[in-house]
Amino acid sequence: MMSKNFYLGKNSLIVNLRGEIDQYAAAQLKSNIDIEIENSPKKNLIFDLKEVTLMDSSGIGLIVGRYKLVTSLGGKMMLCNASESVFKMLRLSGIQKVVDIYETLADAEKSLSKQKGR
Amino acid sequence: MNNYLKAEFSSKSINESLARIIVSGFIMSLDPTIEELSDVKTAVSEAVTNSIIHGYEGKEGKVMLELTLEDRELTVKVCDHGIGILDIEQAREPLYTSKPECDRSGMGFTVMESFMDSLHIVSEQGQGTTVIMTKKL
Ligand SMILES: Nc1ncnc2c1ncn2[C@@H]1O[C@H](COP(=O)(O)OP(=O)(O)OP(=O)(O)O)[C@@H](O)[C@H]1O
Ligand SMILES: [Mg+2]
Repeated sequence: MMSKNFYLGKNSLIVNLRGEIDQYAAAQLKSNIDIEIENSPKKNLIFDLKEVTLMDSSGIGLIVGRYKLVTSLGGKMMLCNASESVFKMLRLSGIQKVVDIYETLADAEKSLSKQKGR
Repeated sequence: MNNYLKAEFSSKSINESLARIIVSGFIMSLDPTIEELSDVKTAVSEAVTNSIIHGYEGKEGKVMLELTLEDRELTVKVCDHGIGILDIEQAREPLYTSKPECDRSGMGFTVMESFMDSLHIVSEQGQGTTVIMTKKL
């Protein structure tokens, strides 16, 4: 089963990832997410990880790949709602050095609306 | 309690979740913490994925998963008869990947190493790769 969900926030495209993000899931999600990014009226992307139950390095690869696409199109990318185990994986990968990680979706959205004023 | 299990499956990505289910079922009787369970599942996922995408490069093959439990020490063996690894030291380096163009981050062995207590890799070019990991539960 493919688990994906997209919707538009105030300043961003929000991608709801679900379930176990391994190579199988990442391969299926990748092209769908890229199509949404390319067609999105908003440049920024927020990955909401609330419903992610497991993420391995294929999930990190998925996120880093989308980060490259989003930034090449002039947008910002952020992550939110990571569970303890998902956060452990994110931290180990060092991804927090390039991608901002927020506790809640509201926090991530707030940071974008602040930047807009600048 | 001592226990043993051996499973063999096709080198298809859909079997990554099967491998995780097998290992979590195998250690369930030890009542592992949520973190231990997630660490072991993730490490198995990494090893099996490597066999599928690097060992067999997406082609048909068999991946073997062997689990041993001895006095609360879990040993996981993941084995393939794929292309093998030329330079194991380089492969173990964080961020090293031979497939940077495929959204790979080169973190698999680093994950196995840090989520488990030990990681041992045996590989021969053209023969295949065996990854052996242990973790005290
Ligand atoms: N079973 C295997 N057979 C052949 N080569 C392998 C095998 N496992 C790993 N390798 C080699 O070792 C390298 C490093 O593996 P590692 O899992 O650390 O990173 P990756 O798989 O490239 O990226 P990631 O795991 O982050 O998606 C791989 O790029 C590959 O060249
Ligand atoms: Mg890997």
